[in-house]
Order: sequence, then structure tokens, then C-alpha cells
Amino acid sequence: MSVHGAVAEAAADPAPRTAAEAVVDVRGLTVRYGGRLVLDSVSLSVARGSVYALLGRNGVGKSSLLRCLLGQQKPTAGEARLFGRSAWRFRQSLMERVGYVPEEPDAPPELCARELVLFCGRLNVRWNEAAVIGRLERFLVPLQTPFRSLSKGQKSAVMLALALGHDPELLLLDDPTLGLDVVARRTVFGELIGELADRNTSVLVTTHDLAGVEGVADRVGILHANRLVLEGELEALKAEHGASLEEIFAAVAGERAGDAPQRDGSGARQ
Amino acid sequence: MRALLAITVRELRERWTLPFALFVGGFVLLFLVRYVDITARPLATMAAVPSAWGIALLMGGSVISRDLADGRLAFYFSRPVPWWSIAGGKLAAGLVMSIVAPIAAVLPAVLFDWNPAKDAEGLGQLLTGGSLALMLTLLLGLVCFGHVAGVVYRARSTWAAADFVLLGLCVWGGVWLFYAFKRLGLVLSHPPASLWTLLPVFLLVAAVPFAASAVHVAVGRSDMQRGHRALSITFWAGVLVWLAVLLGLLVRERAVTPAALATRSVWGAAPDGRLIGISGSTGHGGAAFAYDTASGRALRLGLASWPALSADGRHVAWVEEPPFWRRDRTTEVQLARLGDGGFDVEPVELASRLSQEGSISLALAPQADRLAVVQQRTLSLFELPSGRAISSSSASDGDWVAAAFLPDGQLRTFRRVRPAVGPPGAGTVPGRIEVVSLKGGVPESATRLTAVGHALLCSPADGDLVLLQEPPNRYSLHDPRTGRLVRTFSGEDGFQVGSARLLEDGAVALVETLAPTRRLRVAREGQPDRVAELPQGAAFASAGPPGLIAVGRFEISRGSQAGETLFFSSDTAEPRGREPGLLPAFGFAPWLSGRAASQIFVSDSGELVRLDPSTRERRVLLPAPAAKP
Repeated sequence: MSVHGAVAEAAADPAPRTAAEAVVDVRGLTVRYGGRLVLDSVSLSVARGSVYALLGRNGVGKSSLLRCLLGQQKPTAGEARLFGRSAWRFRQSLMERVGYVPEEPDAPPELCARELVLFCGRLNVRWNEAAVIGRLERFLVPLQTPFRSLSKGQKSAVMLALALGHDPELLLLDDPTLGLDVVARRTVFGELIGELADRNTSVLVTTHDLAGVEGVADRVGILHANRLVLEGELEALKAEHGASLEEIFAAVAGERAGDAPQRDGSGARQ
Repeated sequence: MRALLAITVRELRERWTLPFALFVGGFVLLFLVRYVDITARPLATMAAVPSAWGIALLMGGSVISRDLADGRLAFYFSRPVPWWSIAGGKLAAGLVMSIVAPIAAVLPAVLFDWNPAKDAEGLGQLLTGGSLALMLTLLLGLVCFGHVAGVVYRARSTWAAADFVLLGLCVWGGVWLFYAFKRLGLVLSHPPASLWTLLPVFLLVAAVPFAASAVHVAVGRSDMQRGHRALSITFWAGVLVWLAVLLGLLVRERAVTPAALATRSVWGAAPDGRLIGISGSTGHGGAAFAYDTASGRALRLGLASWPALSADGRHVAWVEEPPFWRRDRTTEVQLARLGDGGFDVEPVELASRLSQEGSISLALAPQADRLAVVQQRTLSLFELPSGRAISSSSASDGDWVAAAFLPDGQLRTFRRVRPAVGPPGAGTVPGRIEVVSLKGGVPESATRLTAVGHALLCSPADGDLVLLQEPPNRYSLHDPRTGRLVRTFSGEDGFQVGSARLLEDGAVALVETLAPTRRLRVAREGQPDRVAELPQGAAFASAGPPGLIAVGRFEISRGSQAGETLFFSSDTAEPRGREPGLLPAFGFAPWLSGRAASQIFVSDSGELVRLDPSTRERRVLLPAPAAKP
């Protein structure tokens, strides 16, 4: 099957459903900001213990999808469920089981890493302070430096450590390696792999770092033009198309005229 | 609650430099005031209140909306923290900072001028008097209002257009309501007896921005646009509900009749007694009416001036000040004529706008064809109904205090000349009272009265004689045409003059007191004084039916009043009967005389009663005010 053939299949029958086991279950998710369509009927699911990489170019709605999953954005249509419950309605209780690393580190800027650990301990029901401090030390993050004064990589490391502080069952990572150097990227994904090895943690990661996710992702979904246009097991997709993830992504989401996916009247790609 | 406290502490910690800077500023103030003749403590205390308001607004404007605009509110929402902890923690930090920071500013002055006993007393009053509760409520409202404004400013969504349109409409509606209430005398001009009574109102006002802030965070979460929409809908719905409530109150207040006044007094009467002026409390504010005792019709009057009744007994006039947004309009006078069909009101736009000089009193010519407007610095004469200005006279080195038209059309005015420092070595020139007569609007003559400059006119201004009170207990009788001092009254045989009343026939009735004894003295020029003993109880002299003096005597026990009117011969001061349960209605309006003043009485229960002078028959003009539940 060609790449374009797989795209058509994904559009016609989105995300194989194992809803009972899925920790993330997104169905027909549509998000509009005023008149601007950001996500158009996106459906996907993430099975327990798996790593799902959501790929797409800037502005296709990856962060909006995560915001819906975090219960911070009410979908215009469709629903986003975590552990079988509506993310919008049950945000507070669901966040006890979810760790989140935002694209832009958003911790209070005047607090140093150690204070942030204490502060987050008061915001979370479960909190493993020693583990977070240990993780920060492994990341070589200075504990007494205000968050605002840390480097981009250190900030991302702090956010990752805080996201893992309550032993979440699901990690949502919004382009966590954006702007990081190679070493820092390896640290983030290395920690991620380590966490996955320790526990049966599910991960949904949006990223542009195709090489980084290639080693850790079980499934891949590609968002393009506000729709999920390709989804499948990473290894199966690569074997099926005889191409690397980067080549598949370039073919689906590329801007070259010949590569640009076409739509038919029903919205499915062909 | 743990999360709420953690968020509050974190927000305060982020801004710890503010109270610290104000604390240092307090010391700087202490240093600076050493070079000027000002005490630091009252200055710091005075500055603390507006500082608290400003800090509350600024904190409210940044504590949530800045995080939202910077994309940092998601930090809280991606953790298992309820929305109310996020909103509550941040708003509470705003409230605490708006209290702590001004206190930090005042602290150096308090420490410098340490007075534990006085401070403890002041703190006790603050806690029990209700002002602290009011201040906290106001600060909470300001913090939340700051949040509303901050979100509108930072969201920059299309909803902001609706916000600005609604803001304009509500400001216009609010100003319109303010002026409507002001015209009805419902604007608070002095603090209520207990500030606790204001607390529910403050709470309800603060509830609107508070609810909008809560809904904003609960519904919008970290979505700026969605939150803005929810905030706007809640806030404006609350504001509109408030305006609707105020509008309802206005409609209710406008429907008040003289019979519904909770308390009432009679401020004027036409000479024939048919048209009388009634004022009183509606329970929420004041109201004044012209009341036709023959038909029972009433006309509500504006409170921008003391109204005036004409000598023909058929006209009443009062001033309507145009609102500030109608600078193009001059002052408007409402001229009402009492006809067979009721009151016919004609607005008269004066040719010139009156200056802002405080209280305004009016004098209406006998046929209501001219109007004198008496202000402290300016006396203006207008033609009616054209509104044409006839003249305007400055009080120069004094104040205009009263005016009245004489039967021949001449305008008699009273001018108080202020004391002044004389030439070197001459000492101080004392103040004085002058009677100035105007003919055709032009001052014709000025007659000086032999009385102290701060004397008060306490008889009709248009009589052949005038009675002045020279505080505290001295009265003097003058001929205003010649300036002749007829007589002074300052008590005899150790008695002090309690009240004095100039009667229509030129006699003066005085109630004199030498505790516990009271007596009536009747003084008439060229005749010996007549004296009659009065029973115990407070008493005042008033005009009675022809040939009689009415003395109101009353006792107040447990909040209820029991009174009676005693009649005495105005020639011999001999008793001529009594009317139990009635007091002269004009007992406290000594500038009135004539038939009306001798006929209208107030019963113990508050009824307004006309007493027939010959038959002593009582007719109830207005029923007693409804008892408060």
C-alpha cells in the first residue's frame, strides 16, 4: 500500500478502537476559535502503556488537541476522554493521573526549582518530592536558581520532572524538545524511556523531532490541514511504505505541490 | 483549601517588593514632613485609603489576566486543582495585598506617633462600627472589577466591542439614574447612622464583578476568548440587574405621595392657607410637595432649591438644575399654577445659568410675574414666564440671606456684611445686617440694622417689623424701612428666651425658661409686657387665630410624642383654652405668619389637621404616616 493509500484508509476508518483499554479516546473532535477551524473531526486513541506520537506542522491543531485532553479547552464538537471520562467535565480528578509538559514552560518564574517542587506538592494530591529532586539532580538543573533564569533545556527538564512527580499514568507532552539542543533532547527522551521502563505509563507526545520519537513511539498520527490524515503502528507504517518516518511525514504533510495531499468532496484524502 | 492557600502565598510572594517599597516610602514621608507643617500620621492614613483602592484595582487587573495572557494559567489547570482554588487563591492575594501594602505605608507614621490606647480605641471602632467590613467588601469588589477590566483589556477579542457599547450604555444609564435620584433627594449626602446598614448593598454591588470573575475562571479556564465571553455575559447581566433594580426603586419613589411620607413637616403656606408646602422622608430620601388642602392634590417639587409660594396663593416655583451633560441649557425654573383642574406646570428656561454657589432660595412676586433667586454671592431677578433676566446684584463684601416681594412690588432683601479688618489701628470692623430695597431690579436703598452680623432672620421678611435672633438667646425687633431698633429681648428675672414669634399685629410672643419654670411673655410696643405661667414640658410660641397666641407644648417619652396647644390672649396673655393632641405645624417655621400658620396643626400621630379658629372643628388634611412594621 502506498502512503496515499494509507491516508485514504485512515480518513475512512479512523483510529482502530479499543476504547475499553484506551487511556486517551478522542472522537470527532472539532475545535473552532471564533470562525477559525483548528481541528476538524479528529479521532484517535492511545492504548494503555503505549507511546503515541502526534505529528504535524505548526498550526495544525496539535496543542489544541492536548488542551482539550487537559480539560482546558471545550471542544466545539466531539469529545476528548481520558480513562473513559470526559476531560472537560472531570478535569480536576483526571489531572491526578496525568502529567503534562507544555510547549512553552509556564511555571511561576520567580520560584526556583526546589520551591517549584514544594509548590507543586501542595497542588497535587500525590507527590513524590524525593523522586522529583532526584530527577532534577540527574538533569543537572540548579535547584536554587529562579525558573526564569534557567536555560530553555533546563526549563524543559524541570517541567518534565514536575510532570512525573505524582507518578502519572498518562504523560501528555507538547513538543517538549522544541528549541533544545541535541544533548537536551536526548536527556528528555532518555528520561521518557526510563520512565516508561519503570512503569506502565502511556504517553501522547506531539513533536517535530521525528528522529527522537522514532525510537520510542509505538503509534504515529499525522495531522494535516486540521485533520488526522494518517495513523498507524510506526513499525508497520515504515515497513508497509518502505520509507522512514521523516519520508512518510514529508509526503503527507509536505508543501511541495506534488506531495500536497488532495481532498475529495467527502473530506477523505485520495 | 491547601491549594488555595498555596496559590495565595505564591502570588503574594511574587509581589513582596510592593509592601516593602511602601514601608520604605512611609519612612521617607516621615523624613519629608519634618520640613513642612504637617503631621505624618493623618497624611499617611489619608493616603492609605486611595492607595488601597488603587492597589486593589491593579492587583485585580493583573493577578489572573496577566497569567492568562502570558499562557501561564495552564500551569494550574494541568494540575488537580479546582477552579475555585485558582480563582480564589489569586483574588484573595489581590485582596490581602491591597490591605497589607497600605498598612505597610502607614506603619512608620504609626510607630513614630505611637499611642496604644488611642490606636486600640480606633481599631475597636473600625471593627464594631462597620467601616472595616465595608472597606473589605469594597476592596474585594475593586479587585474583582480590576480583574474584569484586565480581562477585557488583555483578551482583545471581538467581545470587547460589546463590552464598550454596554459600558457606554450603563454609564449613561447610571448617570441618568443618579440625576433622577438626585432630583428626588435620594442621593446620600451624609453617612447613615450605622455603616452596617450599607453592608448588604456593598455586598450585592461587589457580588457582580466577583461572580463575573468566578465564572470567567470556571468556564474559561485557560481559554482567554471563552472566558472573556463568560465574564462579559455575567458581568453585564449583573450590572443590568442592578440598573433594573435602581430603576424599579426610582419608579417606586416617584410614585410617593404626601400621605406616604414617613416623616413630614410643613415648610410653607400661601396666605390663604389653601396651598401648603410639605416635605419629609420617604424612607429612602427626602421629598417636597406643594399640597392643595382643598382638593387633596399634590405636586412633587425638585430639591435643587427651596421652593417659593406666591402671595396670591396659586403659584409655586422651584429650580431644576440641568445635568452636567446639558451644558448648553441654562437653569430651568418650574412654575406651577394651581387651577380648578389641578396643577399646571410650565417650565421656564432662565436667560442665564445660575452660578454654583451652594443653596438656592427663591422669592416669587405676588402675581408670579417675577422671581428672585437668592444665592450667597448673587441675587438674580427674572421676569416670568419669559425667563428674561432683569438684574443681577453681587453681595460684594457680604452674603445675600433672604428676599421677599412687598405688596407694592418692591423687592426687599437682607444682606449680611462680613466682619473685616479695618485700617491700621482701627481694629476689626464688625459684621452687620442690611436691608436692601430694589425697585426695577436696581438697589434703591440700604438700611443698616442694629444687630450682630451673624443674626438670623426669624420672622417673615416682608413685614413692617422684622425679628432677628442673635445667637444664642437674644432677639431683636427692627423696623426694616428705617432701621430703627424697636426692642431687644434677652430674658428678664433670670429667665432665658427659648423661642420668640413675631405676630401679625406686631406683638412678640416669647417663651422664657428658668428651669423648671416656663412662662409666656407678650411684648407689644407702647404697652407693658404681659406674662403667663406655662405648665411643665418643652414649649414654643406660634401664631394663633386672630387675637390669640398658640403655644405648643410637648413631651417625648419612649419615642412617642404627646403634645397640646395652649391658646392665650394676644392682648392680656390670659388662657383661652387648649387643644389636646395637636401642635402648631409651623412652630418651627417662624418665617411664616398669617392665616395658614394659625390653622394648620400636626396631631400626635402625625396627621396634618386644619383647625377651624371659631368652632375648633378639626379636619384631617393628611392621614398619619403608616407605622413602620
